[in-house]
Amino acid sequence: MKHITVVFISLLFLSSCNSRNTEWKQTSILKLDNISPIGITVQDNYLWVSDGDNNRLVKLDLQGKIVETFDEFQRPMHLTNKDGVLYIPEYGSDSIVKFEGNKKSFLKVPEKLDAPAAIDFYEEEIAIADFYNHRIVYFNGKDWKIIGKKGNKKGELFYPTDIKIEKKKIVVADAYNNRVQLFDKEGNSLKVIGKEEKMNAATGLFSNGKEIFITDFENDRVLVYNYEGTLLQIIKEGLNKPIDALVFNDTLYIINYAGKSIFTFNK
Amino acid sequence: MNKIFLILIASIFTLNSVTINAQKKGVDQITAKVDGLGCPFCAYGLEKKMKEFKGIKKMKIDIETGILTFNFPSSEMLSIEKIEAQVNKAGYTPINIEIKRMDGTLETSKQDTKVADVGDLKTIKFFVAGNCGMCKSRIEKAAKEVAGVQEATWNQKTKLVTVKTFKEVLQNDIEKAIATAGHDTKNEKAKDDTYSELPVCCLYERIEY
Repeated sequence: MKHITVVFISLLFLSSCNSRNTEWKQTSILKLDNISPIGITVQDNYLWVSDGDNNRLVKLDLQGKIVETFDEFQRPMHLTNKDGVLYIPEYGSDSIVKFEGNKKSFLKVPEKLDAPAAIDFYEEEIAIADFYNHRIVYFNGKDWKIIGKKGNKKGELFYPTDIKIEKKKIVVADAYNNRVQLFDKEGNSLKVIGKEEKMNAATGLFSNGKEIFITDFENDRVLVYNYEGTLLQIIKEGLNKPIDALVFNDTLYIINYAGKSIFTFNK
Repeated sequence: MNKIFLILIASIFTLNSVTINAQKKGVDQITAKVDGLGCPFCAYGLEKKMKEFKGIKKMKIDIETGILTFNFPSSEMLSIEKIEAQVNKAGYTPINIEIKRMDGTLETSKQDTKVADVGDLKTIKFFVAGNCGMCKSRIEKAAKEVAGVQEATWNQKTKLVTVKTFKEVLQNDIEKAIATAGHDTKNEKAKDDTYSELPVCCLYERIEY
């Protein structure tokens, strides 16, 4: 009987540990005075935030303290970095800015973009969310291709706002179809996620091979899915127009456009 | 005395050069207040659409206040109606427009002045489809433009508009006005063309009738 009790208590303990590890719990709120964040990335242990309303980039330490600001961007959106270079899609200039050592240059893209909203890299691959053209402009390492066209059927897009390239997939925030869409690298739609949750503007995305985080902008929440499309968690408390997410060093960062803040979460 | 005279001459010279500079520039200064710019994708879209005006210079948009400012060549005599039309074409709701002409004269858009007929107020509530803060502005403005309507408030969560109006006003007239602005209501469907021209964040799920 003693043995059974010990085993039972151990199982209870393990199961409580397990459940604790599956959910993201809020750990801090970093206030961003006078910053209306749109996109977030991390480089050399600094957070970089695009401040769309003020046409600038902001470099912050991991505690949210502003280190430096860089002006004269034209509506910078969902940025990323590769090999020490920041890549910033400019909605206002229809171009991708490369920002390295305080110097700007432009990424050459053969397609004419109309309000690029996001960019991502995977090894030699590049993908750009081309907002007003309702498509993804994708470089597979050899050729540039177009993925998607305007519409609401599977494989079609309606104002894509964010993108991530993974080893075998391209994950798209299909913003005003209110869903996430997964494509293979030939441009075939593999899966549509999130229709049941009735999102209202799926504006920002992060994925890491295990979880997909999507910001549900107008409903002030972030939805966490697995790759089968199962909803794992709804993060809502205190969010105010969330617009991008990032996981770095086991910490989830969610930025709030209207709330002018970064919320952090840990498991 | 000599000093005063020199200062006076310098002041006149400075004033003259400022006036000459303004005339050389030859621009009117336009300030427009646009309601409901809650979503950056739409707000920056408005900026892009406004840049379609050839000759537009020094445009700034303050997303928080919804105030748009720009300069425009004075020789073009850009009218308030044209600016209103462009803002409406972009799918936004202009609240107030002000043009400061090069010669210093000021033009402002007319404020809505409704003359109420006799009768008591009634409150009506009905469903209007929409998504965001910009939808709210458009729906409320469309309702308030119906003669006799005193107040209109649309709730983003419940999708219900509450209208305070004089008894004579028919609900159907208010619904028609809102549908004309692009929003499906309980009994009136917006035209597809009007719907498709709404800003991206306003593209709500259409109602099946």
